[in-house]
Amino acid sequence: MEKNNNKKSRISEIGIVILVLVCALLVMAEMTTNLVKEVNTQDTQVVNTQILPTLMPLPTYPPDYNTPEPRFDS
Amino acid sequence: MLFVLILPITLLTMTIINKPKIKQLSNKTDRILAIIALVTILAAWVIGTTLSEGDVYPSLQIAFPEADRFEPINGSGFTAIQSQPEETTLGYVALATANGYGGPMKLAVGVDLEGNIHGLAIVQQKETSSWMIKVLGTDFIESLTGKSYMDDFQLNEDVDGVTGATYTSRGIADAALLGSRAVAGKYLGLDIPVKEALAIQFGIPEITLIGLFAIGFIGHKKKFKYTKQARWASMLIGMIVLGFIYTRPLTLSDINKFLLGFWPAWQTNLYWYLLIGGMLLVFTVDNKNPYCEWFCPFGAAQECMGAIGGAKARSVGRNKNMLLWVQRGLAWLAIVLALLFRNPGLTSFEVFGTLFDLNGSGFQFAILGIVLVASLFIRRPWCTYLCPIRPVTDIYRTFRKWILESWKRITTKKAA
Repeated sequence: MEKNNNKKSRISEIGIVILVLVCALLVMAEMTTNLVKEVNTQDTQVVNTQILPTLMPLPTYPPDYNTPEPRFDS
Repeated sequence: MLFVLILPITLLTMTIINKPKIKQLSNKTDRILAIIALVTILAAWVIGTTLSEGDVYPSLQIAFPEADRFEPINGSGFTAIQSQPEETTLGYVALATANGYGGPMKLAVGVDLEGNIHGLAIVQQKETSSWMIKVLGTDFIESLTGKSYMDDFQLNEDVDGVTGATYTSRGIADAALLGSRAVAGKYLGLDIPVKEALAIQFGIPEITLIGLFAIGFIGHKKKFKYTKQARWASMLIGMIVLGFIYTRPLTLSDINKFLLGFWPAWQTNLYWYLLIGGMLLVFTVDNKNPYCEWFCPFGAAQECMGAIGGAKARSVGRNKNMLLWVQRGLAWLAIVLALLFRNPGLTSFEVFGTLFDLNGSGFQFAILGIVLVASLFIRRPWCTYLCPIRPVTDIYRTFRKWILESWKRITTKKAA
């Protein structure tokens, strides 16, 4: 009887550990997916109901990296 | 990606260290690890702030597609110029920043010479992707083009908000307003309307939250007779109002926003201040977690499932420490990555929105399914083994205890 109970509790322990580890793997997968999306979209522009994968080459403005980026903060 | 590799190695090491003899980590080890966690979080924060932002010029082109040249003006905006057939100023583009749900959103706002919005481009945003996709799936951004700097840009008044993504749509509208008025006032020499003070938003979610904090405070008292009933009432109210109706549970994204310093305007985000401030206050003063056990909507949902299936706290034997460190490791990783990328919602892996709003990825639906089924037999499996809020409260408790002990030692020494 006692042996049976021990076996049951051991199975329950292992079951919980497996469930948690599966969930942890799914969490890692979710984080990795989000991370990959973030890295991929860092160089794209989200605009007008679409995410543009690449931007067309821009003709004549030479970016001036010495000028601080202008902004209006709220 | 390096962090993704570090986590399993750290967890494995912790498991090996803890496995044979030690069932509970000593205070000292706990504190050392808490310091390491804090230092790495701080390092991620510092590195995140130093990462350069992307080039804004492509966004200028999107905000004013007809222009072929953009000239910076006084370091505060750009003139949109068309060179052919003759050089003509078409308008101006301002970069404006306002707060969305996940933090600051930067927009390039193209404004024509009459002060009307010509085009908008989101330069940078930190929103939860599902909400941003929701906004982008509507014609919300197009609806702002053509609006004048004289308009109020008030959601559900002169601008239709996006249901389920209110904060995101408000952030976009606010940035559009700021950009258009900046151009109108600075470059077009127009009189801009005086900005009205923000109206304080105090409604059912805020009232409910205050009420739940009060119930938790009273219910925690030892003399209180009806603790069990009060707790169930509190949980059910939390689940229905904060969960199913308003979908406003505490998430890691809220904690990350706090750590990143993305503190929104209190008038329009009173709920966030009440939640974070209330928890910090009660924790600091009373060392009690008023939220998780008493009115966390997802905790309540699990307990409801548990009541159906007769769930109870189950032992995991010597695996307890390993699972504890899996939970802590995931929370640590999620916080570090969010700070590194300066995006509070980036790694927020909770399944609260998945349950209450049916909004989430395939992975999140899979986790939700497992957790809900497990809740039938195990008491609060999410809270016990996966929720990232628990490690955050653990680390806060560790430091609180440490500071109090140190203070006691100092005062005792002085008295002696």
